[in-house]
Amino acid sequence: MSQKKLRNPNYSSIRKSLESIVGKNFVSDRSEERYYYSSDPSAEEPCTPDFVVMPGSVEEIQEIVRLANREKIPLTPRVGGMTLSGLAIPYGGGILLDLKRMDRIIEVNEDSMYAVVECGVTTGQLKTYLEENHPHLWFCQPHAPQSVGVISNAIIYGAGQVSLGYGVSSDMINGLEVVLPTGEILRTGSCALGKSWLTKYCLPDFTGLFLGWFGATGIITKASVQLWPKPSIRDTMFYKVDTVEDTVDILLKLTKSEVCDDIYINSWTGTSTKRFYMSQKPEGTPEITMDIILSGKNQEQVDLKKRMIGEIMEEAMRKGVKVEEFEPPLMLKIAMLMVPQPLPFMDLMLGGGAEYLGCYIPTEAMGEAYKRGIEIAKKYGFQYLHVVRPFRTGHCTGIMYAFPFDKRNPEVVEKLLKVLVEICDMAINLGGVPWKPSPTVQKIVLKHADSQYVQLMKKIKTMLDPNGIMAPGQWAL
Amino acid sequence: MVLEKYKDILHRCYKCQYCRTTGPNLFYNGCPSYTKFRFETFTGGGRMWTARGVYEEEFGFDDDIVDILFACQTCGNCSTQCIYPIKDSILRIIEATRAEAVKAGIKLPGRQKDFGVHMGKEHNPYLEPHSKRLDWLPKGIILPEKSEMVYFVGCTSAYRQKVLAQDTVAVFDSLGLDFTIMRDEWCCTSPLLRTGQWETDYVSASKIAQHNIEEAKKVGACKIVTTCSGCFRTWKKDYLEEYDWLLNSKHDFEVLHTTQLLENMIKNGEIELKNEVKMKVTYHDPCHLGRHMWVYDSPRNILKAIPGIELVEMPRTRENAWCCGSGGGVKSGYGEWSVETAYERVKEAEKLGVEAIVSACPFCWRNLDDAIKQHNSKLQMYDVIQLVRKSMGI
Repeated sequence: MSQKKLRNPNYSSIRKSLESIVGKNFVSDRSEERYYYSSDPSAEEPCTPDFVVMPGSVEEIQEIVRLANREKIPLTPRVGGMTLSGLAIPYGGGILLDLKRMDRIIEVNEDSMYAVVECGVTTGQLKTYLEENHPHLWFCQPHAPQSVGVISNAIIYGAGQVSLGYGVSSDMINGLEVVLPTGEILRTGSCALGKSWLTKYCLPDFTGLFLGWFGATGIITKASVQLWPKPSIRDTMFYKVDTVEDTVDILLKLTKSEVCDDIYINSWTGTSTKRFYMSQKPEGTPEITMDIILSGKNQEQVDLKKRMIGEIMEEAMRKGVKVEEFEPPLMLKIAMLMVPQPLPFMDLMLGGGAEYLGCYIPTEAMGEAYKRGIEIAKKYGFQYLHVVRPFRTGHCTGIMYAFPFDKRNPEVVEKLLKVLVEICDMAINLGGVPWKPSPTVQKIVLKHADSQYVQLMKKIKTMLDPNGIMAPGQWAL
Repeated sequence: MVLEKYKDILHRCYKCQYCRTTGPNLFYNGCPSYTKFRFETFTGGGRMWTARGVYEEEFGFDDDIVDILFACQTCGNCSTQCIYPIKDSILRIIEATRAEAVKAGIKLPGRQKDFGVHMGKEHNPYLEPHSKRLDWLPKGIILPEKSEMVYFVGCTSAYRQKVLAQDTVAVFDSLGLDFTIMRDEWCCTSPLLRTGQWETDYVSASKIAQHNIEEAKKVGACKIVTTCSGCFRTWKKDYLEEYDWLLNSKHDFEVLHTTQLLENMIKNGEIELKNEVKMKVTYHDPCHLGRHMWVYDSPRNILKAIPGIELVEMPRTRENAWCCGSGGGVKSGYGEWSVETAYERVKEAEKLGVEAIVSACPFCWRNLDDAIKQHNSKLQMYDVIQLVRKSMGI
């Protein structure tokens, strides 16, 4: 895949300015950094930044933003860069802002249960900090590598281990501090009134101006994220279900019962690496495995919840549904309870490429979205690998379509982009919304969107970012 | 190009950055290089991408690439934490890229080339004459010309931390072990392998490795015992598996680290640890013994067997241990940063309220001791063998 290698004509003077802002050690225009930060594992085309810059403070970010406006050069913010959908690729070149130096956990409020973190704080860092200092609290930690940014995950509507109960991480933001594309600082939520990062309730809510925009409307430098009481006892239950249709029925009952902390529904292809390579499902293999995590304040409460789940499954069996409880290897159980584990699917095709397109859909449409996803994958010669997770007591459900692929093969990449576009179309037609859409998928979203909605997006973008410097390529309106 | 060997692997880093922290439950900084330099190119994965860039001719070897390639202790945190099958190749790819860089005539950092050149002549990286290699040997200790067990002293104990070699010989002697040393021992080659100075116009790693194997055969060795974790890894892993294709160094010797030998003897009741050594200590896992060779329990079991020792663990321990900072050529290439890295370990130990750090590698000993002294820490530095000797009362 060819890389766009850009060079700004004022390159030398920009470099000097950047060095004077953040210091020489935190500006790079070396080929090695430019190459590394030019791509992610997704099917999106790489694009090389002119500079990789690591600011250490809000003031430094402000100065960089002012410089970018003067020079009309693009700015792309990044923390973990792990969206697998090209959201941190520096389209248009310019400055790639690696925000990981800004990694302070500023405050944890035990009583009102929130943490104020800087933009570079990672989920692994916050988890470790809470375990060591506030062991009775936890947060919406995604099932993703620990290098993922807490704020980054929140602004892309990422889900985590408390999402079935309380929603995705974007629902859990109390307030933001943002460096606007013109360099001013904006605070949203109660912190706009003073020092309190308590809540975003009661005021006109500007937080949404920065959620789902993938950096196109500003650089979030701080956020208050909600914490939750960490259960004392957690346990797991594992089931095999023969068909996806039966799974939907069970899922609707499980979510409304409010006894599960988390439910993962995996296609047979995703339950182990070994199975994935089989093109045909071996006879007798159930289509679905369902992993349930539950918790309680004491064993009695856990046992009661387990009985309630068991009753739901028995009721399904009485209706003829083929469902069977099973015991996975002990290590898997331990791993599931210890730390959210990402599905290690990326290397399955040994090809250096991985896409993970999600769609948030109505729970009742899950079966259809699941089957249509298989059809689309098969049409283009891909094996399917689906993961399904309901959110917020089943108010919606995320279905994730995972595709490891050979990124070195342009034909494969082209086909995969078609798959992603078709899945996006399908999910929207089923009443869903694509999650963290790549620039390719964003185009389809905009095509479906109401014209007034798109017009307002354009107005907001132009108002906040008159020079169009922020994250070009994201929501290219 | 040596990187050709890895053409099916180079493109398979997914930038998930497990390689830069500890894991799997608590995530501390685990990669000294990333902790210092902060660009993701300074992680194991970043170096995979750099190797790929070189292989695919995105860029070549110029001054820009030197720190990315060489400012890395090759401590193996990256290969331990990576969750993908490529993990076992990460360090080999870093070393292969270094070898390509050396071949391309890159300017090596600090004194790395100096030691390489010196090794070609005097067979040690400490710029010392070979004729002084046995100066550490206490007068009065007479070792046989031949024995089935060879104590491979290693350059650090022979030229710098001589007390560790002396303690080892004293302990072995007191235990009545039939052992000897090689009178013409050369460096194990680890510093050359780690810094990419494999086969150059000034030194040949294969020639040195083959010399050592021949010397060991000459004294009738069946078993090689080392106190140095770097030598241990080289004899057991590099000579036999990872670099036998380069060094032509297959051998039949059993290779043991001193801690493995002593642990066995303690288990069999062959060592009397009679004196109390009243001390609260923490154990620092040498990368070349722990992550590279999976020897975690032997040194700990010895410490637990010594009466009076209270052993407490640092938060980053065993496979998550923070590197002492000196390996991979960093001590000679980036001296200040090497000690800075060691000081982070010293601070971690100080927080536990211990009196001493104990390790099982003279190279770790040296760098941690440098940090202790430079920062006026009250901690003491010990090798396991020193505490064994104390407890044996010899």
